[in-house]
Amino acid sequence: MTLIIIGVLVLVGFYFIGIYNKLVKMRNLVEKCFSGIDVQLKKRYDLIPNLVEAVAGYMDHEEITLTKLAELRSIPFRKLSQDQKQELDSTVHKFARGFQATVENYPELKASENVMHLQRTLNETEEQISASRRSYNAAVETYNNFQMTFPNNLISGMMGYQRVDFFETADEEREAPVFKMRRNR
Amino acid sequence: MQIPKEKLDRLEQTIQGSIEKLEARRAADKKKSRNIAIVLTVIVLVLVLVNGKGNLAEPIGCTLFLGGLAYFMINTFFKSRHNKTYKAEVVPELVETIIPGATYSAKGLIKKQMLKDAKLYKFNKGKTLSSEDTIEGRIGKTDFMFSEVVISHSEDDGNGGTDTIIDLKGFVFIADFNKYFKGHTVLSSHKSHLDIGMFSSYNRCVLEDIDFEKRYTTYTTDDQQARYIITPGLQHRIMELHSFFDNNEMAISFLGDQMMILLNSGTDHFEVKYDMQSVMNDLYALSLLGDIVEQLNLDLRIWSKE
Repeated sequence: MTLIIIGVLVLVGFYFIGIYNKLVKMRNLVEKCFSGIDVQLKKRYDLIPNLVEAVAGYMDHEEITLTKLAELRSIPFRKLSQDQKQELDSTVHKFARGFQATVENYPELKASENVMHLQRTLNETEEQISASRRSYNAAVETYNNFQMTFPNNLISGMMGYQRVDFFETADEEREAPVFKMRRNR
Repeated sequence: MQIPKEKLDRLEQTIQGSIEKLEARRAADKKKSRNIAIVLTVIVLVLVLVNGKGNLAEPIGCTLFLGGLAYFMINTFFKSRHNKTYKAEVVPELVETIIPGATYSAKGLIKKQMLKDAKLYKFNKGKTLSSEDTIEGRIGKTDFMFSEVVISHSEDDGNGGTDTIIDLKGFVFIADFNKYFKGHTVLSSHKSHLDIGMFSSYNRCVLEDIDFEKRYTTYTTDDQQARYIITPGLQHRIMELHSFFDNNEMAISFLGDQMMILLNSGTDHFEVKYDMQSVMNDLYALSLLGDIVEQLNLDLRIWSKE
């Protein structure tokens, strides 16, 4: 009888260890994917000065955006807080849409090899950011599904594992962009 | 891929003579095969009748059967000669019409190791690969190579002999992809055929499109890069492309800056045809190569590739 109880306890123990290890791996994957987003954001962050310089003087309506961008860009990327990174992300995103539209509307920009290269680099960076966010959301979904389903939710609760939020688009990025171009140029 | 009418008319004019010559040769060779088979059968029959003892029904039956077999084999020999002529005179014209500047060779350039490296097919049970009919060239800005492949293996037929079983008959299409990516990503409509073991470094990648996930299984060594390559837009385009090929078994590998498609079309496209309508079917098959490039947007380059 004692042996049976010990056996059951050992099995339960192994089960707990299995759940814990899986939670650890999944949580690490979520953090790795989150860090992956940062890597791509840093690449875009490094691109900003070149982009701003290329279209300087063509984007009148973006004064506020450019000012905010300059402010955030003055802080080294690694020292940005999460909130500042979020703000930088939506500011750059807004600027990027303005950049694309500006290039489309000014033939002299379109004819510039440098500008076209920057545009392609920006597109490439945006695609990589999008991919890293999708990767993050997939990792979060897998983790949340495992952590929140029964009986794992009982065990994960005891071990202090919580649900993780998906990446969400900022409200202002959900709106359609409105652009005003400088006239008589 | 639309072909202008003038091009079609010019093609018909160019190959009409060759097709008519082939048809005439076929008729003549069919007659020749029949005559040879009859002569051989008669000779053997005479020998059987002269030397045979007892019940001759069986030897006569065998002789007639062998006569039929001889007719079939001689006909096959003549057909292989027609094939050579068709591939030398007609197929290059078809290729030039659809893909100007592309080269055609009756030899195949796809090796078993290429598919193994791409993880596109599991070569177990002694499976072998043969390849023929290679087309190389450029469609738009995309360099490509196309080759027909047959994957088969031998099995005991229970009578001491072996049967050749065809596992896959289709083609391989290799092209520059429009992005450079790290790692290796592979997807298939038949995941059991992929050469990815349980303990490999490849992980299952679950993508966003529900229909795509129902039809294909994706594995990758780098999840983020897999999503970089296989955007929701590309998922949709892959499904549309697959429908051009009647949703037969299809597998795609993304490695380096190349994409490799293995498709089980079930047909041998460039074998000899004796009438213009059948030749036009080969032309249509070729035009699908252009559709692959167009459908997958391979010409849309992130970095200029001149």
